Amino acid sequence: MIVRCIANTGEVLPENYIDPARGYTKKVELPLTVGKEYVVYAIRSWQGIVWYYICDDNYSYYPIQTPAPLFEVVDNRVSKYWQFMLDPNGVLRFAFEQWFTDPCFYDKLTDQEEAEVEIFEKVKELMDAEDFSLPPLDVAVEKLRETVSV
Amino acid sequence: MNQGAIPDESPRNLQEQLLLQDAKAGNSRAIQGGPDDILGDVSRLVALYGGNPEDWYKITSIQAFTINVASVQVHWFENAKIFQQVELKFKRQYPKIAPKNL
Repeated sequence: MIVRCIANTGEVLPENYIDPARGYTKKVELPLTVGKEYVVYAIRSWQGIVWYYICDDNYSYYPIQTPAPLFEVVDNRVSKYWQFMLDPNGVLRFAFEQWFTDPCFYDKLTDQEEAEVEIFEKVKELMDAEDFSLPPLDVAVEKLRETVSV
Repeated sequence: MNQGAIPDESPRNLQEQLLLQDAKAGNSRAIQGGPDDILGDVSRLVALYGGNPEDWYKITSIQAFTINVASVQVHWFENAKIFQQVELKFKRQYPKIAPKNL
């Protein structure tokens, strides 16, 4: 999934995204370049608020949650590395396997623990190079039928 | 995860001091935390410093300075209800080929 930045300040955020506890005020200015495309490595959504985890312009070793309204989606195909989780409290997440197998994965990653930083480097490399192209429907189904009939 | 309190880390140089001042002046945002993204470390934070689990956030400076080839950010934990800031750390990410003791 790829998104393009359409704004980088809090001024354009809907009211439900304004949350001073998280640092999101009308005045906040984020290290994003308007017009630039960013790969989405994970998504979190709760009560109508959607966060994309991207590597912004200050990226050093972890993707950071960034409000979805600052972007438009330019490629809505989802990563084959993503898994889905719906928490009991209604939080919906898409992320790669390691994010879910270790509940503290993201804590450790942002703490700069070596193993988790290395995992994200690998995931990032794979997701950045991910090939989303699929054969046309007729070609794909024909190929499948050939395989099944053998 | 660590069980005890982690003391604040001091800036190593003027640039880190400026980064810290900028972040503490409000140029910061949450990495994680709050009711929808509870911190893995939250039990320890609540036991040590009090508050409710959903009030704790991990905060980062929005700016990242390049200092001696490292990309530097400052992180801390914050209780948003009482504005308590604890366990400040500088995160220095070095390019893989660069020496770490510059």
